[in-house]
Amino acid sequence: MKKTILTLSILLAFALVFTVTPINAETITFWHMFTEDDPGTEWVVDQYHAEQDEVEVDVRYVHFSEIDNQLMRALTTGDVPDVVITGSDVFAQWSSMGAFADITDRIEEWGYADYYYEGPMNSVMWEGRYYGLPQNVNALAMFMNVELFEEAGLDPDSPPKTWDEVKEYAHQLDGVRDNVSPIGFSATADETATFQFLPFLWQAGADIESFDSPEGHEALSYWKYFVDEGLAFPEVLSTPQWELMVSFAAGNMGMVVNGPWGLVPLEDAEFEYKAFMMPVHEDVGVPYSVLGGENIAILDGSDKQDAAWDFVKFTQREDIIEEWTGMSARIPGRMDVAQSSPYWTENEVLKLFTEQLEYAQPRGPLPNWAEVSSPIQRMIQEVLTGTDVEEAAREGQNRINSVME
Amino acid sequence: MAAKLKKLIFDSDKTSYFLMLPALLFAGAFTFYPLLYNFYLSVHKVDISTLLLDNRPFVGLENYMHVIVNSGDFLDIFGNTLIFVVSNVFFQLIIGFAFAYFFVQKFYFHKQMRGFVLIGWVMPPVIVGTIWRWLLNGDVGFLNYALSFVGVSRIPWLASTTFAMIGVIMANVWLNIPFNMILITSALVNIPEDVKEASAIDGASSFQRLRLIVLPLIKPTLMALAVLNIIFSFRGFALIWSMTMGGPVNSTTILPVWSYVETFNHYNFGRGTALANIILILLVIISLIYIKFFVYKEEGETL
Repeated sequence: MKKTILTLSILLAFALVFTVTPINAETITFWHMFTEDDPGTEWVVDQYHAEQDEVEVDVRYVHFSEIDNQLMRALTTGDVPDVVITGSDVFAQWSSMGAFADITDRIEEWGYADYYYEGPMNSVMWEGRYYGLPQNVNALAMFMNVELFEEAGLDPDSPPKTWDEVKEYAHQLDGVRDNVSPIGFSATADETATFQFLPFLWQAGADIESFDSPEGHEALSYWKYFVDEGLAFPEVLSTPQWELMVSFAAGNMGMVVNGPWGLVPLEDAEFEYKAFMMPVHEDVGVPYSVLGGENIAILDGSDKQDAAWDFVKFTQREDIIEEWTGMSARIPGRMDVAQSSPYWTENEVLKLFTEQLEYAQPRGPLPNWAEVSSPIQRMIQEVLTGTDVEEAAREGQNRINSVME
Repeated sequence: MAAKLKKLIFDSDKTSYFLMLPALLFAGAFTFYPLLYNFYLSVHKVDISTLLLDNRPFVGLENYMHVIVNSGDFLDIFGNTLIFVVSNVFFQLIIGFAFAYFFVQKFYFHKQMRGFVLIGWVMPPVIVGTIWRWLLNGDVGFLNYALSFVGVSRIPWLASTTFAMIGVIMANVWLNIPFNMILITSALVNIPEDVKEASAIDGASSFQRLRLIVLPLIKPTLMALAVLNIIFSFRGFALIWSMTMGGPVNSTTILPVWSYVETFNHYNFGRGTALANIILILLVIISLIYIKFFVYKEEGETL
């Protein structure tokens, strides 16, 4: 008797657990790489749940350095999420291998493709078809510590515009305070080094196929100059972008190369700061920057693609994407929103970034971008640790060419 | 029938096989299958272009050829691995022994203090790596601050191709000292008191006692520990990754880091697993040497 009661109560417990989930709503899984408590993401999902009850979104945060690996694991096992956000630099890799659903017809029916920035829209295309939409876009520009500028006798209202001026300003800032580095950039042994260096490569008039040219050598020598002269810490080799910005926000740097996410650590800064455009090389004259950002995509292996598209389409509505990106200090991929909303027109720093974005070039798109980027990172690190520029460029270019074929 | 089966399983000369069955199934699923699959991946072209295909092209030993010959990095990275492993084994044993020898002395709170030393070992390597990255920071790091008092000028530890390896070795040694200490401690307390007393009566100095009594008696432990240290050094990946990601310029890239980069950065699973198999072969060779030269001898001596 006792046994029967025990069995019955266990069965009852199981029954209760499994009946809690409503049967009429479809649940889709959504992976994102923003922080766990990202205010915008939380808001957008709540909003979606409030507006309809057909689709329920199960949100999972994956750290940005892990999301690609998690996605790869999911693909090899076949147990994939329905919607995912991933970096625009590696997006072509996923589209080319058939990981994402071709949503060209859905986008055409929806009709908003022309409202996006052109570069980011190219990053979601593979062989003429759309595999996602740009969620947010970013670029690198420069920040200055206004207080340090004034102490060094520099005018914060006229930031350096050319390569030579950046050098001059850096020298002026040198020694203004103890333990203050005039300029900061990040050259860690991962995608960061490539991301931060490409703007300077393009500004010099070279590209990833011409590192071993006078222009390419000049770009490499330019970064080397700051480290050799002690104007940048040697730790640029091991300091990620985010930590670099934390250091800048603590008042340890005069100028820094960084993106709009830098506003987050700057909330605690006890000094005035400004953002300014990337410098131009005198011979080329264009303040190139590099395009970053994240795209949203539906997995090809998902069996709930209609529900997934409904959610994706919802997130891209003017009022929704505005809040989603605006609350988290990002810039939306939709140019019409970025150029009209007070989030970006009234914030001096973000406004500058929307202007810098016009000069931002995408990386690739190449399906094996990570493999192409690897020798670039190595070349930059070699140059900054004392390898001869021409030698590093020659060998680096050979390595790049061997993986580009 | 049922009774027969019961007898076969629980009371026959084949019972031992049935008792081994759960362990065999476990090892099969979690050790042998992954090993075989790893081998399968390493002789096929498995990258982003072929990953989701049903039949990936067979390429023979091409992946092995690529990493050993064509990449041009094998010798450098193998050299790094050798330096990393040998330094770790050497310093971990010596410092671990010193700690163990110190804490077996009977003084107040010696056991509690030994417990404190263990704290370092239970910390995840990623956290240890992050802490050491800050300790080794050129400008605000504690180590350079401490060194400045003895007149050593700023060393850019993790930003220099020469010092970065020293930096990661220091962190890894620090992380593994407690493990060495504990194993050596247990060997030390197992040395019979009468042997030590006898040597004291015979008038051996403390150094002689250490050299002629203690060290020979704990030699089997030291040898086993050396092999374990070698194997654990190959697991230094998490620490290195959180400190330098193998940089600057591959100077702290050891074989497991390279394998990770090929597998999870470039998604070249074929090459990544080829490297993993090379590591496996190296470790098997080391283990075989250990078994051949030390395990049997140890039994012969103690029996």
